Amino acid sequence: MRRMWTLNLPTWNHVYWVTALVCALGAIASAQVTPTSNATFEERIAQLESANRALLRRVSELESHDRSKDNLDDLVGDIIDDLLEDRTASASGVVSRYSSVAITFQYYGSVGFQVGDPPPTNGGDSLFRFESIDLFVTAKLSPRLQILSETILEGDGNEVILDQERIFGVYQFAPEFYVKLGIEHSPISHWNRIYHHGTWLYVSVERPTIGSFEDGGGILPSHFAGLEIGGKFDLSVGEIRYTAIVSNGRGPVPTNRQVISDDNNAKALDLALEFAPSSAENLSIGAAFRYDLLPPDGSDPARTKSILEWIASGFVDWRPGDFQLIAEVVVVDHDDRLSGQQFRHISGYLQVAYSIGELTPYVRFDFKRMEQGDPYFLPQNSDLDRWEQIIGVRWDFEDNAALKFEIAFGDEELRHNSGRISTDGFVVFRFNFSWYF
Amino acid sequence: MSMQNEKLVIILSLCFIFCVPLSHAQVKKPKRRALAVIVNVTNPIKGLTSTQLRKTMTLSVQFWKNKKRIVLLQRPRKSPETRLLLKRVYKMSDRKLKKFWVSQLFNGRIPGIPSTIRSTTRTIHAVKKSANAVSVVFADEATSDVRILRIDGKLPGEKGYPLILEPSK
Repeated sequence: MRRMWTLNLPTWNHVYWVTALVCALGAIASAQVTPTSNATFEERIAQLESANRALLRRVSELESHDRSKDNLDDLVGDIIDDLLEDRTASASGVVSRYSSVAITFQYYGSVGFQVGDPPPTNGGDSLFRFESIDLFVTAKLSPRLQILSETILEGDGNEVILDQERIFGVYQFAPEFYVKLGIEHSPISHWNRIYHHGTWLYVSVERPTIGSFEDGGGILPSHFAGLEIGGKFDLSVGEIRYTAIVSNGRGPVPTNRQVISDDNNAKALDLALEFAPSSAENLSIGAAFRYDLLPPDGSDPARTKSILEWIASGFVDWRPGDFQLIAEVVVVDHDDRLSGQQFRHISGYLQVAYSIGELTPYVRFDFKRMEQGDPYFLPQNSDLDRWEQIIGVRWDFEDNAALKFEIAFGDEELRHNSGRISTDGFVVFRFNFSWYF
Repeated sequence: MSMQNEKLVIILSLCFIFCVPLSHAQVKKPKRRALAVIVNVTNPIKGLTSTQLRKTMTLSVQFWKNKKRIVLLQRPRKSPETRLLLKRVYKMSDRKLKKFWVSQLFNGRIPGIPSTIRSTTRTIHAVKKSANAVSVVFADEATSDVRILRIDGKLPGEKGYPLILEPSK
């Protein structure tokens, strides 16, 4: 007999019972996940804690088994493992370690574009340009000994040249005393001492006159090869830092940095002091002095005797929160022993910037007031005045990369072939892409 | 079972289901957490002022009073520990702190950017093993293997302790 299946529509009775069953099952499931009483809950916590302690003991045993001595150097590998697990954790570049030596490699790059009146090149109104590649490496050889090297690839005419900008070893005896030997940037320019060749580090596209290097028309000795001692004292009113340097000094012409040879017996002496008061956030003020005897230049009849050089500079660096102010002024005195003439040159700048998120608008006023005819600066036409104002904005669109746009305008003296000097206006738009990793 | 009893069963079941998560929510009430600055137990230092803490955390001061070099161990960038330090100690954004370390390294003022340790357990372990290390962990996670420093004379939990993470609203 064929059985007939019939569909019985649910009644309200069925709905209630099914709902009640589902709810009851849900409650039972919840009760299984959640401890039903405090006693059970605490027991479970105690079990977990016990298991955790056992695991920690085991980890400790395993780690101590692999180590012959308990110091941080042995932990370095573990710490780096952690670092690698969280690659965004630090801005350390490429870090390599072996034994107790820790090495950091960093790569700074900069390319740009500029257009201006008068044109930036002889042929056209505008140019794209390779600016620099900065290969930076520093190594901690021991807790007190550090080695640092900065090598630059930069444009020279239409060629790319390699330049060793800094290389030194520094031994830190105590906070109050360190000894540094090698090639380093002189403290006579605060800008150079804090930014070096790292374009990404400073807000603007171009450096101020005081921060310009010897081969870029700068009037200051940016580099030195010599011995530096320094340190700092932490006082209740603030921190005092001192630096004293004896070095080869400048060569016969401003572009000769004398980092490999020395053309005279006289050494240059530098002394710098810096004070960071406790009462003001991120404020430091400082002064630097330099004495040097510039050797004669046999190829220049106007430079057959040495020039006595005295330089004094001062700076204010204040960075509370998102605000940033840097100002510097420098006075360069030259006493020409051939003509008996004295020349005094003054240069300075004031730069103000304010960060709003990723954008940092900035302005800078920069001047160079020179006494014309100084035989040391004349061959490079560096003895001419210049006044420049810059308005720009920096965009940190990535943690490690920035775009900078700036417009500079002002007046500058130009020496014509006839020897006549005129003052002309200029305007230039600069764009720069800089990065590091 | 009558219709009324059935309804009662359903209502009681639903009440039970909803009460379980509610009771859990009460247990997970947010609380204030204190950040402890920890050093090795052999380190003679007992406490720091807020100014000294900032100098230590920025490596503006690189030596302990016993002339040993400070080994600063950072916590991950986005961790609550680092966020609290940025607000109360560094007083700068995460991005600025990163730039600060790069700049310090480039200037040769520090021999390397401080290492970062991700887990609290390993942080405590590293500080326990290194005589000159300093780092931070939440006070309720610190163990007796390390010393918690007084900040401005206060220990975590004491009134006026400056490194407090307020519960998010």
